[in-house]
Amino acid sequence: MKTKIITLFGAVALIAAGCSKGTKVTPANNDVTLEGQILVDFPANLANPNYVDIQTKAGVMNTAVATFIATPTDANLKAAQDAWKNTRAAWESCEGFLFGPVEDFNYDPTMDSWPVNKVDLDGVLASSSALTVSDIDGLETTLKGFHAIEYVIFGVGGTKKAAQVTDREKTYLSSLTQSLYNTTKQLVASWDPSQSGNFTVQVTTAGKGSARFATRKDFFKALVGSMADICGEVADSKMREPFAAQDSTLDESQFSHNSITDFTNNIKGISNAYLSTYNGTSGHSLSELVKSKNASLDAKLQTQMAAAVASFSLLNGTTFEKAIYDNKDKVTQIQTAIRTLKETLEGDLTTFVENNIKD
Amino acid sequence: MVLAVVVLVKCQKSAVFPEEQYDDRLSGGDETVFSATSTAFGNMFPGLTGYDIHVHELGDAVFGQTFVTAPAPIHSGLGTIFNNTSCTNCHHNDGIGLPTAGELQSSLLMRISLPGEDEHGGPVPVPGYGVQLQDKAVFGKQPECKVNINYSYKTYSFADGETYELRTPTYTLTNLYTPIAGC
Repeated sequence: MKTKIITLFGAVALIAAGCSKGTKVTPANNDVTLEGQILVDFPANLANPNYVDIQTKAGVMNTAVATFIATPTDANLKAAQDAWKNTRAAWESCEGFLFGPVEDFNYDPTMDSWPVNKVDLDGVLASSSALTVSDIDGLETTLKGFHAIEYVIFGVGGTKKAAQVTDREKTYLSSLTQSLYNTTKQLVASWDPSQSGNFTVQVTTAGKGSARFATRKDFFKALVGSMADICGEVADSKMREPFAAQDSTLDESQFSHNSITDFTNNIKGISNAYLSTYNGTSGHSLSELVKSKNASLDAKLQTQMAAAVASFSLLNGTTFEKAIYDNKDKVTQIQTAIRTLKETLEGDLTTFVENNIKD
Repeated sequence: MVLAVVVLVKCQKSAVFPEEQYDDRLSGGDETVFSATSTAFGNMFPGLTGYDIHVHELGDAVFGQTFVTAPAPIHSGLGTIFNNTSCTNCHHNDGIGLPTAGELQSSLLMRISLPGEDEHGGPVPVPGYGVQLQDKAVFGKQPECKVNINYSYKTYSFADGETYELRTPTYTLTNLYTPIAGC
């Protein structure tokens, strides 16, 4: 106990010294409280591994596209399409915690703007303007990223054949996937604890000198806020807009018919955020904290998260483009499950954070 | 007495925030939400109910929409010239953004006018440009100009000798699509 106190004071003294110079925050976290441990484990077990996974898969997609361009067979196009879906799965999962550099440095809109500007995209393809990676970097977000790639490799209706991909499209595609891969690398670097100015240290030093999170509560509020936000985005925007308009051309991942998978991964991402987990890693989490003080709230949240994820199985075997016409009641059921979760996140869980997170 | 005033204020629409309730910390007056996160500006007025929440969320959704060139099935009508493709691209997290111009997510825009005032006391538009510069255009079209920002850096000292550096911007316009009157 005595040793720990000395270490804590030592860390505080270091941080105080760092602050008086106004430059560096010492990234030491010797906090033995559960809150403090969550601040360490959230970046270590979820944020960093998730972003690394997106980068890895974006690299695979980039390579798959290069393979297709070198040997444009239908099999190689399918491999590129599958690589797109895999990258997409990792990306949509991270939308459960869409705060920090992914928003601040515009990595999200750079990679995932929607809709695609089809008029301009067709104009770019019809022109002879250069399409190097740096040209792509200078284009509007609606002309690049996941959905521009999706447009080229799946086509309207998702029936693109290898022979239909023109040389110009191949040039564009190659730069698009390289550009996206570059952005995923930037995203990884932005949280990487070994990089200067990384966001992980902003999280681990929340309430202890973090420039971003003045209190530990601020981090947990940002986290719960982002979990609720993605609920709203899925149920009340991505699902609601095409559904209410009864128009499948308003659906986001329509070219690949991947929307249901996207939405499911968004909601799984909320679970990941709540449990500080990604692909089997486990660490101290908000769930643990909630359970330690209000076991029934934790059970309620986990039940509602599982129910929201499971509700998508109502649409097994169909696409969202079809479901908005043919399975209206099921779509509504899914929205209800997500909105129920959102209510608990914005209500009980937010109140819990307000009242229980200690600084 | 103060409590009664609060109740009366809340029952009225668009009432003036009473002087006696003024507090430095209530940067939003009666509608202040205490949030110190980067998404603080994303909060709606607390205490909205029912239809008002619905209306708020409709507006909020439009704020985040990315617009594209017409014709398009959704969010059509961008340009021909423009500053950005969505409200939120400049107004990060419903707030402010970066003081750059012409880059993908720039938040700075330039206003322009001729000397003097118009008949309403407002700025005098520049022929061919109006009162605002649009530095982006849809594909195949030319924007009004490019806005360039350059900084010069200068070192100053505090009384105790510690130095600090400040930067001063210089704005120049290039790639004008048509000459600017008087320049």
